[in-house]
Amino acid sequence: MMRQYLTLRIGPAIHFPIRLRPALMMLALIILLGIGTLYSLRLGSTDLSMSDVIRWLMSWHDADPETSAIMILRWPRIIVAILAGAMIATSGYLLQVVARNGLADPGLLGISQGGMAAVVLGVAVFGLSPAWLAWAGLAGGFATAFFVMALAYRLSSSTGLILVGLAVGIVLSAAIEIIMVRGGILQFARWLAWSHGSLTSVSVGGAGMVAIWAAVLLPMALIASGQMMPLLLGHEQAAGIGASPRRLSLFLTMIAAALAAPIVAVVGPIAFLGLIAGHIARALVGERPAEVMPVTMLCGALILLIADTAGRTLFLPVIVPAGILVSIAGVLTFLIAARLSPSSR
Amino acid sequence: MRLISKFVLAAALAFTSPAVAREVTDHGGNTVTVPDAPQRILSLHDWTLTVMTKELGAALIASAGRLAPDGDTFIRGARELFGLNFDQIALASIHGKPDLERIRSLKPDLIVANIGDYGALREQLSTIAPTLMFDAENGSKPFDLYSEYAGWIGRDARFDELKAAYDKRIADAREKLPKTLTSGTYAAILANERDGTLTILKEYGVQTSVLDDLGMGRTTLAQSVPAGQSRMTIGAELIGDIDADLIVTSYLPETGETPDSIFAALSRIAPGYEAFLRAYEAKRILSFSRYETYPPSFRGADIFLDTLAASFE
Repeated sequence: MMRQYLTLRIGPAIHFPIRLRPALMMLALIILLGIGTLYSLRLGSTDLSMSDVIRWLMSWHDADPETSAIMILRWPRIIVAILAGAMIATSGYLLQVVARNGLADPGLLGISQGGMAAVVLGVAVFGLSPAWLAWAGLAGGFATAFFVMALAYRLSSSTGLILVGLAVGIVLSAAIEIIMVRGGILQFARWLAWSHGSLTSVSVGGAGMVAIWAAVLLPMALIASGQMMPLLLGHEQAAGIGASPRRLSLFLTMIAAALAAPIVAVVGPIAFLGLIAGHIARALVGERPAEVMPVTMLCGALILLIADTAGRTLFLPVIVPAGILVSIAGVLTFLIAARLSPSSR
Repeated sequence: MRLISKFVLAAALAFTSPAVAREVTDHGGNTVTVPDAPQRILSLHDWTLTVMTKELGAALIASAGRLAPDGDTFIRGARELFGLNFDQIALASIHGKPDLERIRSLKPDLIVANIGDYGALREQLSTIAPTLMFDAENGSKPFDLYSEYAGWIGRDARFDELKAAYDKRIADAREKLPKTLTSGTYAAILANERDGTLTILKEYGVQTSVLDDLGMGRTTLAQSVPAGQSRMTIGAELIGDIDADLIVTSYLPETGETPDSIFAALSRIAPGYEAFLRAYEAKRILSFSRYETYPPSFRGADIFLDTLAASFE
């Protein structure tokens, strides 16, 4: 008889028992992500051969100068597409579990707008340098998350969180518009370019910053996913079996805000991804957070990578921002996943 | 033998003129080392940088362009003023949708870009070639910006020639145009039907440059535009404050607008405006093609002066 569980061990203390289906899904997604990354490195305005890409990967510092010159423009955005996709997707899934509402994502709860407002305020009013923008975004995201959660707990309903988040998001969006309009046409042009969620302006420094945040936060989210199961039962039932749902919800919301903030600062808002990746992951592997979380990360990474690669290769000479294409790619992927899910058959 | 080859090499180096470079501080405050006489300039803003580079006769190899509704690409401003198209130079990117790999493949030795659209890309662009950031709307007078830009790309002498011819043209126009006009005030505006507002322009390409140089005064409203900015948006109910002898505006031919579109726009956003504007009563509301009069160019200034003279014949 076939074994139903695999155990993922991280050190002596952390063990993740994973069912075979999710393990196979993860493997398939990792393979797809690897293939997608190779093709993303190959494709662009100047196409490279796969052997050029492999040679560049094998001899990073000693590669052909022409290939290196192209890659210095290409690899930072690919790294950020993968990491940002995983981070936004994780952020969305965490919020969906906390809110017990499948519609939650960083944009819908106002966290993205909080981060954006802080970034915009930092640039337009305080003239912050790019190195400080992620921290500004983080402060804005945290502050908004605290505010939204505090208000929503007073309403004591899961839909309350969404409604409060929506209202706060609308107010913050209006505040951003006011700051932009007051800043003149130059500022408005910058805002417009940034608000589309494009990876074009990602530099090596930006990729490094996102990588540091991802290295800290994604493992935290993975570890936290092992504790999230009781939240699916609702706060009262979770408390009844000895969990601390309020403390855990607050902690997860803070991680969700921290995951979204650096992406907003570096890339701009990527709408819809946080909503869709969790849905796809659940359709693929079921409801267990410890299994859904890694699949969500991989789905988010794959969607943003495909959207960015398509945006910079399919419509040349026009480069379409990933933020626009991710919505289209997200909807298509969502429809396919819904079609393939067992419940639709 | 080795000594002889060293001597030959030293002699060759002595007779080879070194690659001259200068340091330029751009509008982003960045000090950039640029070629003294760049041979492959790539412009990322068509109706300011491409127009100026073309008019100065510098070595322009590529420009950002716009996508027409039929899918064709064109160079806004430079097409109208100089007939420049993408058969003559390469397409660097579609405006606002930069393609860094395409830009790199064109092998520029100098990239010029507007800070509003490309400020965030400076680091990446600088890995391709020295990159200068230009701000057309920092509140400076357009021809002062043009003069500064000519210095950046080593074309000061050509700018001085063009400026001298322009100064002569202005002196002639001042003689020919009615004194009641040149001693009066003007307002440069845009009517925004989208949100029912008016934009008061403090500096707007050749429109404001030529009228300032003719000796016309500014309205109080135009003088209240904040320092460091070139424009200000006001509600249409303040239209009566545009108390000028001459009102100039512009239209976009590409969207089907004509010189008369301004009157329809004003009627929609400020019904009854005719009763508030002295310039309307005196038939002194003039509308120009934005493609010809927004770019800072002496060719555009000539077109503007021709139209102005024809209106007052």
